[in-house]
Amino acid sequence: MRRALRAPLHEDAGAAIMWRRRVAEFTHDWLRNRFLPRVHAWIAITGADAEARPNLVETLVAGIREWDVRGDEALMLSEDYCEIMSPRRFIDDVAIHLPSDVGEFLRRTAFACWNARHRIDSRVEHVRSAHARVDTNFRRWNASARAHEAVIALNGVASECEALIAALSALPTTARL
Amino acid sequence: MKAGALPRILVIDDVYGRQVSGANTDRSAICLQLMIEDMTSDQTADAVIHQPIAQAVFCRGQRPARAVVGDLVENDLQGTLELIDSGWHGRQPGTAPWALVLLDLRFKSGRVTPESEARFGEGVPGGREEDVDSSTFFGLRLLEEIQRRHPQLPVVVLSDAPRETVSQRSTVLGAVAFLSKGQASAAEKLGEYLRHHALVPDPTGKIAGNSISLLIALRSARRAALGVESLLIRGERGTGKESLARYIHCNDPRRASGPFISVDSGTLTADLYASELFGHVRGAFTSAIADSKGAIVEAQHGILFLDEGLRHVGRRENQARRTLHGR
Repeated sequence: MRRALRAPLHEDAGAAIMWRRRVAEFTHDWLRNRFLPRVHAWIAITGADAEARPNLVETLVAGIREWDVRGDEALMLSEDYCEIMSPRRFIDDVAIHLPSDVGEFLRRTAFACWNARHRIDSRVEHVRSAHARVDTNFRRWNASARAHEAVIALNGVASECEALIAALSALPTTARL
Repeated sequence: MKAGALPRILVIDDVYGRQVSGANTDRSAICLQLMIEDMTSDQTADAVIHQPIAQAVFCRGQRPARAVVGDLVENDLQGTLELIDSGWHGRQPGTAPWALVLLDLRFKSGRVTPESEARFGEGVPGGREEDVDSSTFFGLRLLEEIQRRHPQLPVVVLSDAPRETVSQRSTVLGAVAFLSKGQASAAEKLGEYLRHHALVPDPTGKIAGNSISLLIALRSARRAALGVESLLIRGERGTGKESLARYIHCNDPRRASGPFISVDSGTLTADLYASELFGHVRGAFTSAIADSKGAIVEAQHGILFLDEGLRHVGRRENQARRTLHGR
């Protein structure tokens, strides 16, 4: 299922644009526009700031449970990131023919320089760890029997989602060495 | 606060403003998160908020308001501006103008497909390339037009952490603030923006009226309440200077719980005025039957309103200056 959700990788420039678009769709269109408002709405109802019809509560819960389906998109974005954005792809665009071992050396060197300069590994790890923290809080909310515990867990989901969005936004979208 | 006195805000957002077959859950959710009442009247309310901070009318900013699979959704600059105008200069008598506009930046346009609905919600198109280009955001185009037509109408950009360029351009265009969707403290932030920027009638009804010039004066008064120690209110007799002073008192978070002491110097001689301000001991003059602390001491932690306050300044200038400087 995870591969099915992943957009096809076209040629490099197109893939970079597509990756940025996928990030916008995940962070803006889903997390910010839909998922987080549902999380906060559920917290407001459970915290007795508002009363809602049962069907609205069910819809909110279903919307929050979409994390199970769409949450892994953050991991897919981080997995695809290096492949799509790394400057090693530029080596393949060089017009002159390179022996395969030289080409491979240059690709590895380009990636190593980019990684060292922009701390790419560390930034990608921030995305993964933020995703893991959201997921942990989400599972805790899903398993909570008491309203108080559920609210705490869902507040954790909300704050870690902010960290996840920040981590994804911190990934450089240009491949400068 | 009376329900009718709640600020009336306009939310322009493609997702929250769209009409759907049942209730728009995205809209219900953002209403619950921001603690605002939906007054759009295109759907039945499915939640009751106990202490709403505002009433909201939602607008998609696009045509058609309700789209189904196969429909082409286009940004609607003219229609949106007409709605803003209708709630500003062309509003019903007795109705307050828009207190504030919450404006999204990115609007998804294009054809609604089964895939776009599955991914983004009912009636939402997949979007075009220009929708995600920050230089051509429809929200910025709208912001530009709103500021050109209604420079006094505060606009808060409802968007997630905008890129630096968008942020700068929005500020240049006159957006007063940014509110991030999904932000945990969004309701508190909106409340703060309403207090500081919105055009809101006096919720107590003591200062009656909905004219834009009055609401601008009330906004200036609320801002003054937050930022100054001493304030001069000028105006002809009977124009409501004391009412405005009481309004400032109610809206000053540091002093609202303290007393409001009013001294009308117009009816007092200079000596009696000094006695009212600085107090006296019993027997200091014929009618001084008890000790008095004076208005300045009584107004501690509250507000001292000196009606016609400049009348005796000439004779008591040094005394008054020492008191004010030493507060």
